[in-house]
Amino acid sequence: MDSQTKDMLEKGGIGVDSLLERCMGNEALMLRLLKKFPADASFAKLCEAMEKGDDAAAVEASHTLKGVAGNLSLGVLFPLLEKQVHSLRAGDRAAAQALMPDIESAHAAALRAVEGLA
Amino acid sequence: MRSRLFPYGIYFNIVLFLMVVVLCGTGMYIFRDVLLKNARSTGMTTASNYAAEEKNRLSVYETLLAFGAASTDTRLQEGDEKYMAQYMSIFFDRLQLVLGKDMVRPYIVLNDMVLTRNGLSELTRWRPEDRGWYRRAMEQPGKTVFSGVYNDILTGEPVITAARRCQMSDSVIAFDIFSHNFHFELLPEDYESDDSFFLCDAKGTLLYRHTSTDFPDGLVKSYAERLVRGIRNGDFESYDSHILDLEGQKRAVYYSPVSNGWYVILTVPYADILKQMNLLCGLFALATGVFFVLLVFYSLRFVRENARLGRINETVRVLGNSYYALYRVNFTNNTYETIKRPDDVGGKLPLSGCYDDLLRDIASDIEPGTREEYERNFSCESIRSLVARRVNDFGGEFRRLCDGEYRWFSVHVLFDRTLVPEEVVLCFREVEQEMQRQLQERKLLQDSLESAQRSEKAKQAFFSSMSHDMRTPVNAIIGMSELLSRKLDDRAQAENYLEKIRFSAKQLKSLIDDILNMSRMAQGKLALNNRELELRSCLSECLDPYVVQAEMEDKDFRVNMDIESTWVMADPLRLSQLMNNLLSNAFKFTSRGDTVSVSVSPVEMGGVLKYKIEVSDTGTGISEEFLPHLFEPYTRETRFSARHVAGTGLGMPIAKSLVEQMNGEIRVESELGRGSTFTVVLPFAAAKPEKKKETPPPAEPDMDALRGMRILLAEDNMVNMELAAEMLSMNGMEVTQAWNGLEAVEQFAASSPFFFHAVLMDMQMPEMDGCEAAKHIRAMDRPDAPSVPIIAVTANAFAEDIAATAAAGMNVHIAKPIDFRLLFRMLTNLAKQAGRPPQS
Repeated sequence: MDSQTKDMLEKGGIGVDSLLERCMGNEALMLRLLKKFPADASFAKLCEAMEKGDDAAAVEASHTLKGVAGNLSLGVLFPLLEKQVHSLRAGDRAAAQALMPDIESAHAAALRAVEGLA
Repeated sequence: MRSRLFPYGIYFNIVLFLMVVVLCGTGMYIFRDVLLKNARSTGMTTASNYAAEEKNRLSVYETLLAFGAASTDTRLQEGDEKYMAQYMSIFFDRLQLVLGKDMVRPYIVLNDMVLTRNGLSELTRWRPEDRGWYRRAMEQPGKTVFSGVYNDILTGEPVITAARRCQMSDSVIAFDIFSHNFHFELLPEDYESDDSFFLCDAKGTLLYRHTSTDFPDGLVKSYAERLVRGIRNGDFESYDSHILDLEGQKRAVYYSPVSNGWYVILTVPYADILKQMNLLCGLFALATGVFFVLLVFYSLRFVRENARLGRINETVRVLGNSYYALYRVNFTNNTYETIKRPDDVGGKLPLSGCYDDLLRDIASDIEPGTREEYERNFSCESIRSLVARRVNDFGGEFRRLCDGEYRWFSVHVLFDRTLVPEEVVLCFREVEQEMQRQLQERKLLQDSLESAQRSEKAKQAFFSSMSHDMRTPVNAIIGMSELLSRKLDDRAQAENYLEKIRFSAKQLKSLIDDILNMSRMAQGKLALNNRELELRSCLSECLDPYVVQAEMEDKDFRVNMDIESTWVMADPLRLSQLMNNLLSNAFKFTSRGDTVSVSVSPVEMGGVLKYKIEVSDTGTGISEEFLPHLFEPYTRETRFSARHVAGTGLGMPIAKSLVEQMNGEIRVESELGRGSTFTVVLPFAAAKPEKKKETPPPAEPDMDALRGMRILLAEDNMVNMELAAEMLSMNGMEVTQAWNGLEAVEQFAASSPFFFHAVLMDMQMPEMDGCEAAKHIRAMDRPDAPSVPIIAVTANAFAEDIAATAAAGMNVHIAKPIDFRLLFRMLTNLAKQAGRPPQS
């Protein structure tokens, strides 16, 4: 991978090195995984659930998204979701809601970076 | 902007030239007029002079005629005709004397008689009444009349007749005057000029002519008639009138009438009149020609030069466009002048002014930190000193606030002392993209250099170091085996040796694994695989083989571990590699009886946990000259030595690079013959001791054991599924995918017993979650249902979640994101526990 692409991905909050490590150095796999990210619906589900106030659905979506974020080494998004899942589980809706703008921007940044892949 | 063909200067030159030509032409014209007028007045005067001379001559004849007529009257009154004839004959003779012989032919006509010098005779054939002059004389008594020129009937010569009638009688006295009498006395005989003189009677009959060229009389006659006709018509009244002469030349005509109706005519060739002017004309033409040639020459040069300047100007403008801003700075007066400036500074500062203002203005937008440096380097004094030192093209790059963000700019001071001795040009360019590209290129270069270094040199060095490092555990194994064979009866001791053999073998294997890893990794990246370890025991394990070696080689091996049981984050493999390098080196350069000592002590430095590891020996030591090269790859001190020294010379470079990778320091003190001391200081991150770990040093997973395993993978998320499936199959496992818990249960139910070696179960799935699916599987009535390993994959590290997985009958859980090494280790262990030998 050229440094430009790497920079782009890292700007999107993607921990390229750790992701590559997770893929055991298989760059092609890494890129394929990243390209699947835009198709992941859990963020949309999370937004919807938060809006509707459906706590169960929210925690489920947040949890799934956290798994994806973890797998893709989305270093910014992951800790936010971790907090959110925690808050949701603790029944603290307000705290979970307060995290949404950050989650949204982190998600968008990652999405942009991934969409920048050729 | 080259819309016109020529520069204005050329048109100016053309106009100038035309003006000169017009001026010359006008001047010439005026001069010609003046010449013509002067010539006319001179010519007219000359003509009238000659006319006066002719009048005088005629008046002589008139006087003589008057005298003759009066005498005739008197004699006729005194006597008869004979008397008169007698007297007049004398008069005639006297005339001959006065006027010259045969100049005139006097005679008197009296009734039917005529008196000539030959005497009185009767008129026979000749009738005077036929003659015009006779009739006119008869009509005007007392007045002299002149005939025109006619040819004498006797001689045939041209002749005119002057006649006068007597007052008292009808007699007419007449003189036939031969035309050769009518010359101009005033005209010198040897008069040589192209001027022509004519004396004509009223009809234009020539009485006299003086021309430069002889033409037949007939031609001249008609020419003279033309002249007289012209004069009568007033054709020659204008000063610039002319006539074409017989040679076709232009001639000016000057004339004067004589009292009897004759004309004196003077013609002068224009060529003569304008002779001076022609000379002047020539000079003018020459001057104009030279002027024209010079003008053309300079115009051409001007055009060429102008075109060149135009092109230079265009080029300069094109060049200028590539600059963000351009200023001319006069460092003597401390002023500046703006040549070009960016739009965003427009209006802030005047186009020219005090340079200090400009300097401050520019510096105000520069990144803090660089600002002061800029102000210092581009102050007026600094520029002056640059010029004085002839430092041309001084400049550099800086970041400047532009549209709210910092961008890269370059600034340069250019000057040419020969052109403008007191000024420099300060030019600014935006080099954001260039700099970005440069930085990127530099990074790329660095990366590729590093990668090249890593992948080529490092690979080689790595392999060399590996073989070097392999020798140590192999030596230990050999040594231990030998000791073991001697101590076979002592079970405790034998087990101790066996344990050490196992450790060395493991070390050897991990080295080989590393080589394999290395070849698998395209880049020679030696990443540290830090994990929690107990430093003291790890180091002790590293030292163990050397205790044996020391025993075998009869050396004194002293270990002083001044540390307590400490858990740190470190890579055990690299740490032991480092220790191996240091120790094997120490053993290599020591002889029997020497001492090798290792001491480990903590160093507290700035709150960071560091450990000092000192390996010293009393061996050969290192020469002062070689000491600086000790850590360079492939160097070895070639010195006389008692023993053969094995090694690639990479031990120390590897040790150094390992230490550097661990962010530590290594240094060496040595004295030849006295031994060496290597001191390594390594920082470690503290780790919490995890006592619950069953296998403290988790070995690398046995990838061979995993090959061929069939895994049921339950995961609802596409990304996660893809990653897991790919990683598993990449390592030789067969993966069956289930997209939810229910599907997993169905898949498992559909498989034949013992088909799946393990189930990887995501916890949170639609349809049926992981726990429920696990319960369903465990509840199945089939031989493998209770035993098939089920691994819970969960992103929730909460205790209740983990408890739930255990309750559901799952063997173990693994956190998301999955650490595949850990997963593989788990799988290996689970496979062993299930008593299932790995399939090939």
